[in-house]
Amino acid sequence: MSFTNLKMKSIHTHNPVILKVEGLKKYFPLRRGFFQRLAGKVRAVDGVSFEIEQGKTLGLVGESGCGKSTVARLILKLLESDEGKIFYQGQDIQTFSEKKMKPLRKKMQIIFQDPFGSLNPRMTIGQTIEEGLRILGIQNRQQRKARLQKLLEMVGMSAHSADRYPHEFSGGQRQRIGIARALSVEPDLIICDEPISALDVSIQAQIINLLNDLQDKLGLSYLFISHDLNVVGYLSHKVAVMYQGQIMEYAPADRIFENPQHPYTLALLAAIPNIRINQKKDKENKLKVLGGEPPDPLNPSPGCKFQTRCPFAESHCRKNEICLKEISKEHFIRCSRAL
Amino acid sequence: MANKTDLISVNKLKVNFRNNTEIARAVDGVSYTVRREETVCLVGESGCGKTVSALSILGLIDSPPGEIVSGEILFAGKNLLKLGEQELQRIRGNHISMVFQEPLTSLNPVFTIGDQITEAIRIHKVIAPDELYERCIQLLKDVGITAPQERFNDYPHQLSGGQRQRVMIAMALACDPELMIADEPTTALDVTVQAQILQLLKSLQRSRSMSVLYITHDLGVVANIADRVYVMYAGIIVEQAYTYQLFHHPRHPYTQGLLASLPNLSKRGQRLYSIPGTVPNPAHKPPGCPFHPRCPFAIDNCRIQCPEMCNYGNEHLARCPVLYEKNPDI
Repeated sequence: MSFTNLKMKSIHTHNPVILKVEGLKKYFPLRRGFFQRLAGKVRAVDGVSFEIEQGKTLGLVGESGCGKSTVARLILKLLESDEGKIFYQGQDIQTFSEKKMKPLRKKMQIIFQDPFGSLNPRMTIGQTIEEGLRILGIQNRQQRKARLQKLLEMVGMSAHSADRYPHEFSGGQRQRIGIARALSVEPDLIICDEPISALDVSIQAQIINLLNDLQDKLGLSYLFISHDLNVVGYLSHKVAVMYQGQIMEYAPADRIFENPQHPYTLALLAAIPNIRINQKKDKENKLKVLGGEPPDPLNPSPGCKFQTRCPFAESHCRKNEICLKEISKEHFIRCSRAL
Repeated sequence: MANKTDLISVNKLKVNFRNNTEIARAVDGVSYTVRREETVCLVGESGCGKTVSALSILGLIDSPPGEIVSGEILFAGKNLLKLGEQELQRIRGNHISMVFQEPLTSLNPVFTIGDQITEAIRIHKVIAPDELYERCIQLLKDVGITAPQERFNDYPHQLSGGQRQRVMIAMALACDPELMIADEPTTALDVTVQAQILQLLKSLQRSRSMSVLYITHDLGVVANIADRVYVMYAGIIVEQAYTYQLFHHPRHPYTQGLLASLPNLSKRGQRLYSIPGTVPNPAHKPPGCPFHPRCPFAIDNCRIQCPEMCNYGNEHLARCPVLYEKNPDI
């Protein structure tokens, strides 16, 4: 009961901003042919801005290739951005050298999608997690062991799993280990890059609950990247919907789902197969189908990126670049209909 | 609905996979039927045997390591498991066709789309080249590919994931099969493209009066496409029902657990129900009911004996006597 109230209330209360991203851009050069001539640039991330508050979750949703994982890598400076600013607790980390970045790397961690590829198969679970503790500067072996036990317990793994290797565990357990590793350096912000999409349905709920519990207990902030709107709606306080490298709609989670404004968000919501079915099947349960497929990111046409699939597109959508506009408090959309 | 005739029925099928040390009972006595003009879903998590049971229909289980231990698969009065390779070849693609999950790996990269679709027709029918081309273009149109004349000469890598899956479906439709087996055809696709493909399958099923056996792990997809559903767990069927029944009155603890564990906005703030534990390894299945270690209702008998199906009427069966005793009514 108390949990319910906390979570529902916290959508509309405000905490200090832990991460702020402004006008982030990343264009990947594409080379083709024998001489590797520059064939064009893929606009993977094309002016993305958002904020994450302390202890809150921002959900980043979009289809494959929309640039959501690139955003994650840019924030962690695993990739250099072309333009834009990244503020971590008010400091602009964009200009930081690798040396200056190092202490911040403890504060920002990532959980990857594939729990099979993201653990070193030659290291035991204990070694994998202890590596983080060593970086944190815990030199005493006893202390490290004690902390390791506590981390494993926190993610719901038994203590003796520390001496075993990744292949001995199932996908869900490996994802728990990945979470323990991320937690080992005591981060404030965890970027979850599709952490449950490789897991079985019955395991997904376990990991979602774990992430929720850890947020309540440790006050973690999450950037939760997913293509699954149901999961994002359940977990996030705020949601950003991405398409072709741009944020199309950005608002508190309840408003995205109850009052979606951008045609792309509407289409995404309509495309989710719903389990609440009616007896008179066919008519009510028909999915509303969005025609076409995403455009070639190499030669984007001028104007709105969604114009080729948008049922409301008009002539001016094909000419002018459209900006993100605030249509009501904290609710932004990138659509000419908002004017 | 109930008076439609059976098209294919799988009876007590058992398939094992063995290596030097272990035997995995991947499919452990599974029975299901697909009737004419019906879409049936096999739903379950990875490793529950849903794909293996479908591959057995077409004789696509490699032996060794696979081995069909017992059971029968009746199609048009014939037991498919007893047929020779030549006879099976006449059925594959012609009467029963299959669409696979990964459209990129299941198309041949060195042949054009047109080559691959026409091949599917030429294997089974003697047909003039002009007519073959016409038929192929018509198929591409039917599956919603724009500019089919141009796509005819394209290679698979030139198409997007959704288009490739459409081509796969066109190949599967090439000889007007009575049954199409679709093995997770939308899992690799984005939601908006998934919605397109589901819609396409539905309309094709109706316009061509064929039956579809649809294999998936996604309950949302099931709710959208299926007439009837079989829920599989660890190599057995734990529940079967008409779709509406299954979603509104699930009778097996596993089905109930799966439905309760799906997140959405309305469950926000509540703790999600999660089924404890993990899916058992097919080589080390627990004795008795395979679900008992994860089941909140398990009693002593569940640990000893695998239960029989309990009949709730209207073809709704669930393999859980504990819940049946509590509430046997519909």
